[in-house]
Amino acid sequence: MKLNNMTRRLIGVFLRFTDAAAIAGAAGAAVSLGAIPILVLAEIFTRTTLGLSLGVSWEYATYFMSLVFLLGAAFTLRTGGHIRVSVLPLGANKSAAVTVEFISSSVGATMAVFLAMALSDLAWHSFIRGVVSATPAQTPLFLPMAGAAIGAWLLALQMAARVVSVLARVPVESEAPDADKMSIHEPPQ
Amino acid sequence: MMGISASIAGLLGVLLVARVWVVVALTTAGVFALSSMQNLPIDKILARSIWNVTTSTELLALPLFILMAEILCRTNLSQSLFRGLSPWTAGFPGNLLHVNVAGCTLFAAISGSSAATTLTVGRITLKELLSRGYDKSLAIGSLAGAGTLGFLIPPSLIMIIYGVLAEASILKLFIAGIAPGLVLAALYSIYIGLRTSLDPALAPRDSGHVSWRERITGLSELFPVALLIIAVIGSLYLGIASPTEAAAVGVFGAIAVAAWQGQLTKSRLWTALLCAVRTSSMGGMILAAGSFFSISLAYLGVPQAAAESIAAMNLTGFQLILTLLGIYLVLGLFLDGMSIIIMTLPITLPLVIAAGYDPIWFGVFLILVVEMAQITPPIGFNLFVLESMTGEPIGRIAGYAFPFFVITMAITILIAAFPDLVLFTVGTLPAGR
Repeated sequence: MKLNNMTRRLIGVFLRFTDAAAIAGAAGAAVSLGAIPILVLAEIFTRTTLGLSLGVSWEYATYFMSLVFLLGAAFTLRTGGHIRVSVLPLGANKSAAVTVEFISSSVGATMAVFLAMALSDLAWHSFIRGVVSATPAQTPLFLPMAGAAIGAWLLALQMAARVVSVLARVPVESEAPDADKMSIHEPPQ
Repeated sequence: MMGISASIAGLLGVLLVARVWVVVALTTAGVFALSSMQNLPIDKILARSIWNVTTSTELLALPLFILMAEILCRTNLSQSLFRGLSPWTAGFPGNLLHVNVAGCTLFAAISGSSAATTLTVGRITLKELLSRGYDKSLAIGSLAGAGTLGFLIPPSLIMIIYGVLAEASILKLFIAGIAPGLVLAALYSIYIGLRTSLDPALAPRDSGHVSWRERITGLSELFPVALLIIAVIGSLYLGIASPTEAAAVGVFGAIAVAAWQGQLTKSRLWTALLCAVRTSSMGGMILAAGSFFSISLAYLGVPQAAAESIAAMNLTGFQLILTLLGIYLVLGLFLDGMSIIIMTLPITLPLVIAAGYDPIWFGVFLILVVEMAQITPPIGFNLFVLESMTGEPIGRIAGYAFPFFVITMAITILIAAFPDLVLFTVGTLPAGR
């Protein structure tokens, strides 16, 4: 597919934005993951030495885990981490490979948008109803739910970027599972 | 019921063949299943099930054990394992080939992943074995087989996922995996010993005598690993810590080992966190999608219908398990272990429980099946790891691993015939655990 300069530039900007968004999500997920052992160890320490519970450790640890899974989902997709089955022998047939990638990415984008809307709706209703956790901390649940919804939107964005990448014939995945080395999309030719 | 069940299975199959990600395929099939019933708030069911799974306390151990393994993979642990174990294998038929088995067994006790176990141990042993003239098929095959122990010997990521889905005790699953894991490791070693005794050309003889002093010195190399195993498995077994607490202690221990070896840098820790995010997100999202899929099937009454149709076949418990083993072996050719468990559990677990089997036993049975799936082509994660390490084609590596596949299969059939072989260790847990 021949693209004019303006389209190429717009696609380049979009793909760089989605990469940056995925990396930002991964950074948030990494910080959340780092917080989990700190919370659990703090709970163990206070329980064994002071004989008291922090009260919020387990609850907040699970919210952080949700952020790890969802905020990290776009980065995982971008670096080829989500599992897919490779039974179709597509090696030599480039156009068939592109078609299959387009179909799978489109299905993925549709489902990711549906999930993002569903989680956003959950967070929104939690906010307007003032739902809080059933723990002494009474944490407003829309806060961690909103974080999860943001992660789902990042995944939807990365799926959309994949559809665009397939159409523009640019690589859909970065090989390195390392944000520092994650290649930014080259502008399509 | 048969029509809608076949449609769901067909859709799932088509999506998977079309290279749609497992997490997306499960979600799509779940949405399709629910849309066949009128007036269901599909989006609310989806959001609620994703939220419930991703904030489940039982699942907290999963990202922590993954982080622990990622930190340890960035230390000199593989070299320590080789230096510590190699003096002890001298003199045995097969010599250093046993380091593959012993190294994987030890690393499995601090890592929950079979791919991580294969990679970490193989990184150093393969180079050493091949450069010293050991037979390639036995060196690679034993690593492929022993690497699968990462799933069976606790802590095990797949066991955590199974425990959450089956609502079974993760601690009991961990403890139940120990005996079959050690038996498998012993059988792998016996096989290596027999093969090299029958054909001494497969393993060069010792170049020199290994003194007891060298052996004891070697043990000091294993000290950090031993300490971590005691901290993680010991605290679990003695009831000092829950799986999540043991995992958090494990992360702390891994950081301490990295610092002690001078391998702890900010950049390495950050990379370990990112890699752990990647694996955790993959596992957590599949689990969440699988849970939604399971709920969708339950709305339609598919598990009950499947149970009734199997009951009508009048199979004995053992026949049922052998049938499931056959189905799982076929699925294992094309799917990874985690996907197999998540996709089939809503149907198979009620059947197995109805046949009188314990969910803890079934968990161990499934892990053994998953281990076999790890080394069967065309989709086998251990094969992929070894392909990238050795450059050998997948089919040839699978051939090298075939004897170890047969041993695992034999143990699987044995525990199917005698379930108490798995469950007796659970009975040794302190009361109240």
